[in-house]
Order: sequence, then structure tokens, then C-alpha cells
Amino acid sequence: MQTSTKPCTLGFGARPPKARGWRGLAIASLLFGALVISAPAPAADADAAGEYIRAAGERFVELAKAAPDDADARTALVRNFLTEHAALNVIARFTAARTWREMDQDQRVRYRDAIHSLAARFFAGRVTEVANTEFEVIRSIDAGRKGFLVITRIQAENGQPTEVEWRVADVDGELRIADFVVEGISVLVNYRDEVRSLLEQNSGDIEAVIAHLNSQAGL
Amino acid sequence: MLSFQSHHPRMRSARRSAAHGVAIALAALFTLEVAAAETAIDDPLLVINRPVHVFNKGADRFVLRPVTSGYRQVVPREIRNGIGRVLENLSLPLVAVNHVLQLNPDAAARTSVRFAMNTLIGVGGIFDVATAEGLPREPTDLGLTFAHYGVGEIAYLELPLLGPTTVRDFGGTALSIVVDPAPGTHIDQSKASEYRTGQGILETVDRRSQHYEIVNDLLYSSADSYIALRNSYLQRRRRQVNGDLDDAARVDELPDLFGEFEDEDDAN
Repeated sequence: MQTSTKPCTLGFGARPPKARGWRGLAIASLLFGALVISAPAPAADADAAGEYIRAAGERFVELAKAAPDDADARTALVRNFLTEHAALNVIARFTAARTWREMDQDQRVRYRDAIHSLAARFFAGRVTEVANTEFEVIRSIDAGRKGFLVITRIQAENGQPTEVEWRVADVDGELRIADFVVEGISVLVNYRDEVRSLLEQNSGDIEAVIAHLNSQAGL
Repeated sequence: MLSFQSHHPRMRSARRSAAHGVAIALAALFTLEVAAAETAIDDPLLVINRPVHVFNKGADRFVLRPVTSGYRQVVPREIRNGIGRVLENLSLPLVAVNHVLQLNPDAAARTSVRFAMNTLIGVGGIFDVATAEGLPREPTDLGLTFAHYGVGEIAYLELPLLGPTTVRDFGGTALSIVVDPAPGTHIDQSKASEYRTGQGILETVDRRSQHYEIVNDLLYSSADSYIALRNSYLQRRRRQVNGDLDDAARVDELPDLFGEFEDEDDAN
């Protein structure tokens, strides 16, 4: 995947043709609209990734503050957040590694849902810790084909500040979170190795792995 | 203030044996592997570690987790935090020594001042006045000192009751027990063993309490708790060994999410 720091101007830079009266203006507007709609989304840059994480992080803290006491309701809340902000297919492919190619479409969807549920349960357990934190974006790095890395500092109430890195992927022009790294511990790398280990223990049977992931996610 | 003399004959003998054992372990440690570039997780002792993990998980489920849960219910958060700060304060002399060994005299000086401030003004470390004065924690240990001099992890270990470590880090832990210049070493030597045991139990419960939810998740909600614990330990230690990474090193560390699937079009 290539990334660029140059904003795409296709559509916005097009000069409207001369037109006479309302009819000409309408045709020009339609052409202009068509150009804007058909143009690829502007490539994201590191600043945009930082802003995306700032907004997503603040939203998560707000959600955490209003989170219900019921564990299932909290998990559902986090699941919706992940649906909106996580690069679920990228995460699923990366964690399944070569097995992804061997899965049929139905298995891919069920595997991705199982990873999604497991992550939702994991982060739902963090919600109470997040509720009283302050969140600050320190800087963002353009990692080229690897996407973006956004460095943040999370200050817990009465605690030492913790540096958290967010891996952001540009997926078809949309920024999505692909990993979350605290003190060097990558959730994504952990999931990949856990899935690899489960595949080894189950002789490569992805159905057994999906069943195990669902069971750990409480489904 | 710092004294390594033991006056009790049995303690002297025990210390000599421990020091001898640690010396052998260190010699092995230095000769077996030096400065290996560890970018992947190699686990040659997996077949031994897995059963130990099952035992440790059982010990956590039936002993440590209930004890810690009770501790968190009975002892108010502020008091628990105070206990944690006192234990951290007790570790600071050895932390300062390790900063010196790692040729970082500035960090050693800051840690020494932190220890003095929190001991004298912070009532033995109950209150962390040093952080407010711009002297936050700068933790390090003997395992990181060994790493500073190029000693690799050698192998990942999960030890009964002690949990995750590596051969290198366990060497550091064992040596610190012998040389720790913390105040506990200088009380009545006939009671040193009891003191150490008590401190060890309190540290274990305090550490489990501080990371209560995250350890519960790793042990009971992860897809494979052995792998989750091992990876978390090793990734965190490797980051500590590498210190503050510059941006290029951080990018180098990132796994490639797309490389293997560049021909796929359903990324989102």
C-alpha cells in the first residue's frame, strides 16, 4: 500500500465549463458533482492520522464515562466502536496469516467476527480504567507502506503517564485502527501468535480455532 | 549505609551458596549467548514451560486471584497505592546501582534523590513527593544491565509461582536477591529470611493487584493464555532493553500488514 502526504485535488481543481443560463449551470453542476464523486478519496497524511486517533480516543473516553455497568452492554458498546474504527479485515487477515488464503468466504466472515468479539470483550474490560484518563496525541509518523503510527500519552487519574502507540491503516481511503501498542506490547502481534498456536494445536483446523475464539469471547 | 556484610554464620553460608550458584548461572549465561538479535519469539523450552503455565494458572485461579481480590475489597485504594509506593521505594537503591552499572550516572543521581525525598519527606515512600518535583520513576534492573552489556534472552522461561521471565532476567533476579542493598538487608539478620518472604508475598499480591484486570484478561479471556503471557512479557522487556526508540526504529519494528495480501481487494 502506498501512502502520500500530497492531498489529491482531482475534482476540486477542475475548472467548470462555461455555460449559459440555468441549464448550462445545471449540466456543469452535474459534471462537477460526478467528478467529485468518482474521484478517489484524498490520500491521508500523518497529521490526518493523528487527528483521527485524537477524535477516536476522545470518543472512546466519552463512551467509557457513560458506559453501562452491565458487562454484556459494555461489550456491545465496544463492539460497535470497533466496527466503526477498527480495520477488521486487515486484522483478521494478518492474524490468520497464510490460513486466510485457505478459508472460504463464509469462514473468513466467521473468523473475522470471532476476532472482533474477542477484541470487544478485551477492550470492554478496559473501559472502567479509561473513563478517568486524559488523552493526548504526541506526534504521528508516516510509515510509508506500513501506514501511520500515532504516539499518544494517556494520563491515568493519580497514575504515571503511559505511552500508547496506535497503528493506523489507510484502507481504501479510510483511516482505520489496526493495532494498539502499550509498553511495546502489540495486541495484533499477540493475536497473530495466539491464533498460530491454536492452529498448531488443532492440526490447522480453522473451524476448531473459530469455535475456541468464540468460546473465549463468551459466545 | 550500604553494607553487604552478613554477621550470622548460617546467613553467610547461605549467601555464599547462593552467590556460587548465581556465579555459575552467570558464567553459563555469558558463554551460551551474547548479543543475539531477537526479533522473533523463539521458545525452545515450550514443552517445559507449558505444563508450568498450567500449574501457575491453577495457582492463580485458586490462590493468588482470590487473595488479591480480597485484598482489593478490604484495603482501600489509597492505602494499596501507598503500599505499592513503599515497595517501589525499597527497590530504588538497587535501581540506582543498576543505572550506574549501565553507565547512566544522571539517572542514578535522579533515582538516588528520588529515594531520599520519598523516604524522608514522603514518610518512607508512602507519598510520592519526588514525581511532583519532576523526578518520576526510571525503573531498571539487573536483567536490563545484563542486556546493556550484550547478553541475550537465551530462552523464555515460565517458572513455578514466579511466572514469566527469561534465563537472563532470572539470573538478574537471583543476583539481586543476594546483593539488594535495600534496608531489609540490614535489619536483624536472624529475621532477614522472614523479612524477605514477607516482602516477596506482599510484592506478589501488590503486583497482581496493580494489574488485576489485565492479568485476568491475559489468563482467562485470551485465545491462548500461555502465548498471551509470554508475548506480553517478551515484547515489554524488549522495548525496555531498546529504550526510547527513534521514529525510524519504531517504523522498522512494525510488522507488514499488507505484504502477504497485496493481491486481495477486500481489505476493509
